[in-house]
Amino acid sequence: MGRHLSARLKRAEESLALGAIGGILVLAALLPFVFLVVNLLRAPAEMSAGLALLGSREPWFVFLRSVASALVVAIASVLVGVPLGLLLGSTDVRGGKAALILHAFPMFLPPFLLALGWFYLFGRSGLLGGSGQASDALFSLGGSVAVEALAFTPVVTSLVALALQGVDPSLVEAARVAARPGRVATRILLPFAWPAAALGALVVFALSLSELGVPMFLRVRSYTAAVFARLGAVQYAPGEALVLTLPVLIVSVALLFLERRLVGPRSFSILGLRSAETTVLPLGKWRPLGTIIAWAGALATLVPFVGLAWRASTGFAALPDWIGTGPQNSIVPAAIAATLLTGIAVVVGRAIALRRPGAKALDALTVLAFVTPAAVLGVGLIAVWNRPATQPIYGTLAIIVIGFVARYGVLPTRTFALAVARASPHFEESAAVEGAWFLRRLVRIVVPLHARAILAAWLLAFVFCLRDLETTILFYPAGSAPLTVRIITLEANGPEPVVAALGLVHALIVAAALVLGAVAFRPRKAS
Amino acid sequence: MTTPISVDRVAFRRGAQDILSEVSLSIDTAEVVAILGPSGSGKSTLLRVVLGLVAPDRGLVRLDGGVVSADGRILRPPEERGLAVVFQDLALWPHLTVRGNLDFGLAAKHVPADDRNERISRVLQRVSLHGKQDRYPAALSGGERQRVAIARALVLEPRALLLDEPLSNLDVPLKRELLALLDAILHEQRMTSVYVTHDLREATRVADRVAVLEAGRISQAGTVDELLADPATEFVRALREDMG
Repeated sequence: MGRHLSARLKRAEESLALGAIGGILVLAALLPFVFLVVNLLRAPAEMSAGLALLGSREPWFVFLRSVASALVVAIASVLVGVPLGLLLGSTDVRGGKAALILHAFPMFLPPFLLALGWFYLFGRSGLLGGSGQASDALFSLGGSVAVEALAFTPVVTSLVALALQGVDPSLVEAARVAARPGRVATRILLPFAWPAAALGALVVFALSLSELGVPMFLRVRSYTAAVFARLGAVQYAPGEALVLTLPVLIVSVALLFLERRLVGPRSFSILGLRSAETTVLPLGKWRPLGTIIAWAGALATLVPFVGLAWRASTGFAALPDWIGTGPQNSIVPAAIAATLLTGIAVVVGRAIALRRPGAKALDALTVLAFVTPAAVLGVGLIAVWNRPATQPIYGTLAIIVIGFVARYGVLPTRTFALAVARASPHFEESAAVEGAWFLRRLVRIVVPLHARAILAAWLLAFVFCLRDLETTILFYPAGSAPLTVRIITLEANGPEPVVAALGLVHALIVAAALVLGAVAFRPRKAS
Repeated sequence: MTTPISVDRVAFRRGAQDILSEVSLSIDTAEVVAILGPSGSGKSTLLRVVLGLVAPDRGLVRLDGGVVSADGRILRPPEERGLAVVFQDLALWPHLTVRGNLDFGLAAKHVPADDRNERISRVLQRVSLHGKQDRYPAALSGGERQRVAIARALVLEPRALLLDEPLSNLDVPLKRELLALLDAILHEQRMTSVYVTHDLREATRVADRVAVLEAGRISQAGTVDELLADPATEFVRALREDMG
């Protein structure tokens, strides 16, 4: 009897593990959406007030403006990111790899830090300011779009460069025998890059629509800020906030549909099934010009750091008085969430790669949670967890961890799925034929085999949790503000040099994590 | 007496394509059967059906008379079938030493430690890898890796061994050497085996019987001599001409 039960349990190990992890994801990421709808239905008065608000012209104007500006940001990112990714990912421009790394770095920072940097350069009292025209341009819808486009372009550049590095060298070599490099680039490489560009555009659109810090800082009205404002002390109207999230939810579902149709099936090839060898297109006499263009494009995203460094030069001395527990409040939940997310990614990512039943639905859920503006998710999380019985969670850093797990599951999960999809399925199948059940295979074969992918997944989750502002700002516990929240609140009434110095501290923490990751990723010699 | 492996009217589709159609095959105790066929004929899929890695859409798979897969269902998963496999890419676990690779399946089957060590030493001796048990796969030559893969399968003392084009990427001298080793081991251990290949010379060397699989159907089966004497299809005729 006991043996029979044990055998049944062993057979069910994989389904149970996937079910348990799926349960965690549903609890963290799906329940908030369910509660949004249920709470609205259970509060007809609030719903009718909210619907009345939606019946007016004003919120729709802000909504459409936000959608349009996110669209412009996405298009600009593609227009700059695709050629730059092509130059940095597949040509012989000098120092292309270093330029790509430097260009990509701001992608891992909260965009409002870059907005701060631009402000310290072109604001009225900025390093290059003075006339006021530059400052006026910065504090406008156009300025907000430009700052976001520069902040998010590296997403497209990196995806395109990775995708191009995954192109089979023989395809490029076969084309080069018959055509010049320019024709090879446009006729052979670009068609390979378009799914990556499409994925990049979707991600940028979602990030831009979610963005709270940049429009708030540049005093530009945005829909996310409108939802956020209704959860603040001055204009507290949670019912209205709930109703306001509905149009955004529709956009999110549309984004999910687009992701499924355009890139879902191809995401593994997009995300860089890197071949061991890559072919480099020689630019010939255009190499110096190509190098200048590639480096100019790459460094453009780093310009704000000049402003931050200049303004921070007098702020570091006072840093101990202002920094508080910000770094700790950022690093601890980010590390815990990254660890949980990596554990989830190992089970779900493997299931996605091996096309296990139910994995597709979990993948869709993580994509939906990522592309949905954080304000929607945040309002949902508040609806689920802000109640007396759950104060030990809602009143502590645990709620931040839950928020991160809800929002960023897709990043480590897709990273790990990619690693499993790249490896021969025979590694695990051999272990199964030898009699090893799921958990034994997972611990003894899958995890050690993909240790580097696990590290990459953890790192990606960690830096994205670190850069988060828009999810946590809605519900961070009193006295436990993460560094990003601390910087944006201090920006309103704190000394500029200290705010700039805090921004640099944040950038340094992220850089340190990335450098440690790069050290761990150094190619190893076979033993 | 029941046959160790029996496949009865098995069909398998992928999308709109029939990969296997009404395939029936029995393998007797201690018999080595080669599944011979061109690329894309369904050889590896048939092996995966027997291993329990995929379920046949229709038909039955029996091991020692017991039904283990039937009509779209896997009744006994691969972990419980008591088989062993050598894949074309060998799939040696790179993070485990030679000993670790051999020990993995034994530990999964809860074989006592003393017994495990004894079995590992014996098998490594048999494939001439004694003294290399602490090496990682990356530190072995191509031929040595091949031997580790064979040893890893044999150490389990499976009810049957399934080999999926295990020698297809080797140079001629090494292939000849390993074929001789495999032939000797399979027959001296009376190991029931299925050997998937597209090379009639390999089949001739190791197999007692050959089943020709073309476009998902068994087009001819018999001993190599029977096949060569009376080829039923163009593919077999071409193989005969190729053999000279």
